[in-house]
Amino acid sequence: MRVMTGMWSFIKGIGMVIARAYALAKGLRLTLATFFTRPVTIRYPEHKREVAPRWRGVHYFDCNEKGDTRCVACGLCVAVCPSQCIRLVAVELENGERYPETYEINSVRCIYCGLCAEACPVDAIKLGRGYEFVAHRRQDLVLDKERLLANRPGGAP
Amino acid sequence: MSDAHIKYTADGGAHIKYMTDGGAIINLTIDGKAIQAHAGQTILEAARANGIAIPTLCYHPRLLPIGSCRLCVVEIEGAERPMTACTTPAQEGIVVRTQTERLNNMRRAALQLILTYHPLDCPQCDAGGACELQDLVVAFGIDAQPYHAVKKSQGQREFATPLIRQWPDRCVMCLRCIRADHEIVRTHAIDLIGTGIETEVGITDRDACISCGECLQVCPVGALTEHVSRVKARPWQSQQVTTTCFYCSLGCQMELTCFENTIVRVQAPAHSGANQGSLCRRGIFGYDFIHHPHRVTAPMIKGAGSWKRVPWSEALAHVAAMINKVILESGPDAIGGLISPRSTNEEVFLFQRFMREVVGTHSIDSTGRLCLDPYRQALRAVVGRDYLPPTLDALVQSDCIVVAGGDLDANNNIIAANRVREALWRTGARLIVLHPWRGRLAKEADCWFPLLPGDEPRWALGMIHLLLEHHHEALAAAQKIKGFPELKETTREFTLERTAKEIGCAPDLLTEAAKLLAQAKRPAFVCSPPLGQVHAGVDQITALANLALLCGALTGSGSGGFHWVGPQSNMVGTIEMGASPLVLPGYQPADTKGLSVVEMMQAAATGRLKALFIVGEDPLITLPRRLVEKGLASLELLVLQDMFLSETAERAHVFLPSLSFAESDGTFTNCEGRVQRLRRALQPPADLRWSGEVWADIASFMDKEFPLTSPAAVFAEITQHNPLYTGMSFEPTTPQWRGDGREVPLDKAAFTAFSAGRGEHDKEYPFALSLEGIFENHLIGSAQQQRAKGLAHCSQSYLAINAEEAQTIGLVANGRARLITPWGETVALIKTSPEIRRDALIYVLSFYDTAASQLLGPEFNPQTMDPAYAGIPARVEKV
Repeated sequence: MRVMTGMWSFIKGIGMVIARAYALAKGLRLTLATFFTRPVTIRYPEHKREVAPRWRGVHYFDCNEKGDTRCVACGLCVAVCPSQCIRLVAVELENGERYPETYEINSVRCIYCGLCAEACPVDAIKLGRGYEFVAHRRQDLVLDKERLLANRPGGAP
Repeated sequence: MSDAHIKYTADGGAHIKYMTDGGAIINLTIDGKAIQAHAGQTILEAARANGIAIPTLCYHPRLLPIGSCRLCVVEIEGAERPMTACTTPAQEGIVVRTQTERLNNMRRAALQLILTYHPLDCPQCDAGGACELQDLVVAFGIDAQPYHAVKKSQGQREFATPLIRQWPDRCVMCLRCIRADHEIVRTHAIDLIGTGIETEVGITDRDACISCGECLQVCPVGALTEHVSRVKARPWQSQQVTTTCFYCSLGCQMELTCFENTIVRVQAPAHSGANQGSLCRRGIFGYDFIHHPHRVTAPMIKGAGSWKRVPWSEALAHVAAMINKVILESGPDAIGGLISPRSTNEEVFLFQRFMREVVGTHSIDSTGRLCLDPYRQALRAVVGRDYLPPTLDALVQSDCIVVAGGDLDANNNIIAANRVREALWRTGARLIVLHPWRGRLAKEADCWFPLLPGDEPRWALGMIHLLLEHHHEALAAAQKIKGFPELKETTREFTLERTAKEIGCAPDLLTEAAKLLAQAKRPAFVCSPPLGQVHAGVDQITALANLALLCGALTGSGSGGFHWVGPQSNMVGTIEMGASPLVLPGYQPADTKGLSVVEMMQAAATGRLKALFIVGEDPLITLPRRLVEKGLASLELLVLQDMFLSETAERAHVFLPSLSFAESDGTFTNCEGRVQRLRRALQPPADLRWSGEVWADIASFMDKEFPLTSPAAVFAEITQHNPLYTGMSFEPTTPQWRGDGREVPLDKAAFTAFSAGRGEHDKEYPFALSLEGIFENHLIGSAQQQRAKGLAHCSQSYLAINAEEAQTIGLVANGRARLITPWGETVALIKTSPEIRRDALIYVLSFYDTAASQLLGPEFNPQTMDPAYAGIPARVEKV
């Protein structure tokens, strides 16, 4: 009887071990399976992630053949901007063309809706793919004409 | 101008004649709505008056309709084809439909045709966002168009004036600019040029352009753009502030477009103020001086010949200490105050309080008084009390207008064009012009008298003689007026022949003018400086006022009136606020008399006046130079409050910067007595302060009581202390006028004696010289004008002389000549014309001519203490 009892508890013990081992294996399955695959994380900032094709990041100015902004200071972006973060002072050049003497986007206030780019009749202002812009002071996050030109995908003209 | 009556003539042209009163009421139906209209109104006007919208492009409410854009087509029941609503008169019982599929298609097609040649450079166009074509295209949902043509690209070019540019490609051929030029200003400087597809708006007479900007204001697209402001702002970026123009005494209402604390454009709101949507070149283009880098923005004290910037407290403490010192040593009467007639009512009221209460002197004056006093004194004598003319609208209703004094076109093209010419055109009024030069207005006149300044009394005597002799029955009412027998007696000897000989005019002309005046039911007189600015200035105006009284221009309801067009914005208000050595606010008599501005200069030269506080004036430029130089040089203290360092500033000891009109709040009283608001449109630079605060601080440094208040509070005080302004509001909802009724009772009026004498000609000085524009163009109370880039092209003074005389002397047109008076001389640019009286010279002053004041003599009109600006003996020599 005692032998029977001992056997039974032995078998029970084995079963438990197997059950636990199974649970462990089951639990480790994802880990183990992932262990031998390529990692999903990247080594930011050494490695950068590719953003979605429709990503709307920091603004940039497209430039004309002279290397200056294509903006003609029509003011449509100012009109359409829902967060009113664009400041534009238009002047007239000698040849009668409008030109943005001052063009500033407050990137802190901006909601990156992209309406400015959509409204632009000359495709001057665009939302780029960049998302890395940090600063210690708020006013450093106000993008002026030079910074907008420098933000171009190819860098400053 | 809204009720036009259209007559179709046999040759097929449509002639539109304005009706002076609304026609009979007629009933018609538009879009199923039964409405009422006046006979003579067009369908468009009737529809708009009843809130029914009809699209238009070439129509402008101030211009005659031409029906060229075809956007206002409407269907009239019974009419075969759609008709243009802007040119079709509303008629009894017609049924009109404005919104149908067919009309919509027609309008779309018309717009698409206009767009065929339109460059669609909206982002680049100055009018983008405020373009009527853009609005229409959006409203009709046009996003493509079937017509294609090779678009020209002509870029921009200078228009008739360098202040406006033309972009011919953008023109939609609505002809509004041409019509505004031909109908409102009537200069005929621009017209259609070329034929067929080559037709365009072109310049036909560049010299005729007066840069009034009327064409610019009516252009629906960006074909004409302003060329003063470099900064351009869209409507959604800018704010509009309605204020009152600070240049002349008409007080035009204007809208300043402000962007980032800068004025970028000036426009006139339609149907508002005395100007009714028009502006002159000064108002529309003369604003950029406000942002000029030479503007002084900090108080300065002169030490060792150079200016030193100091804090306000130091400057004001210094002024207070110096004033106290002068009071202690020489008494308060050794201090004088001079305030510009371009200051607001509130500033003038506070300044005279400051001078009278804090300093304790009655020596306070303004150059505005120099212009206005001869007129005021003369009219007071004739009318029997302070005369307030009817509003300038009375001019349009009048049927015979006498224009005397300066060249009205040059001084005030709004009155010349919008009032006098409107009367000529609208009611067929007759025009009599007294001016030695046959200018533009004189050319349109029925009678032009080339009078020398000072000959007006003899002319008036001759006219009165003729009227009494030949048109006795027409003047029955005037014969009951006091002084009539004496007047008749005086004029007895001024027969037609004698008058004609003495003033140098043809006798027929006098007879003709007398006939016109006798036939007129509502004659009106318009006077402007230099009338009243000869030695016998009061007599000059009294003579004309007697004539006006005789013809019925002064008395009775609906009389044409005797108007005075002053050169400075608040000339009337300045005197009514008490900036006068003789009267307190509201013409209340003062117990003691102070010194007038000329007497102050004389007193300063003799050492009786020690200190002078000048606000916005530049006496070196407006008063006889030698006298002022001597006076200013002897002063112990000269405090100057101004925007720029003027000529006078060189002699000042303390300079206090002041605000421009766009930064000030307050009221102006215009020449009609209209009290209008000046509104703050810009924030003043850094720590510039309102004059009221400055004086309050000086008073507190002097340990005197002086309240520190706001313009609104000062105005409330004015309404209590000035009987003319009782019950007025600082923020009125409707136009408000100061003073009581304008009716002149006949029993108070009296014909007043005047002298018709004139000094004999000096052989050495054969010409009579008039300085024109000494207060208008010449000087804006300070050196401001010189800084306005927009007016730079008007920056040269010139001397107008008869062409033959010039030839005799050996002068060439556009050359230079030496202009000599007994007191000084200057070298001037010569303009010759065959239509100037041979013994007259007219020196038209530019915006900052510092030499002209040398020509003025040291003799003054004893009644007004006014130097003579006209009738100065002069001669011209080759350089």
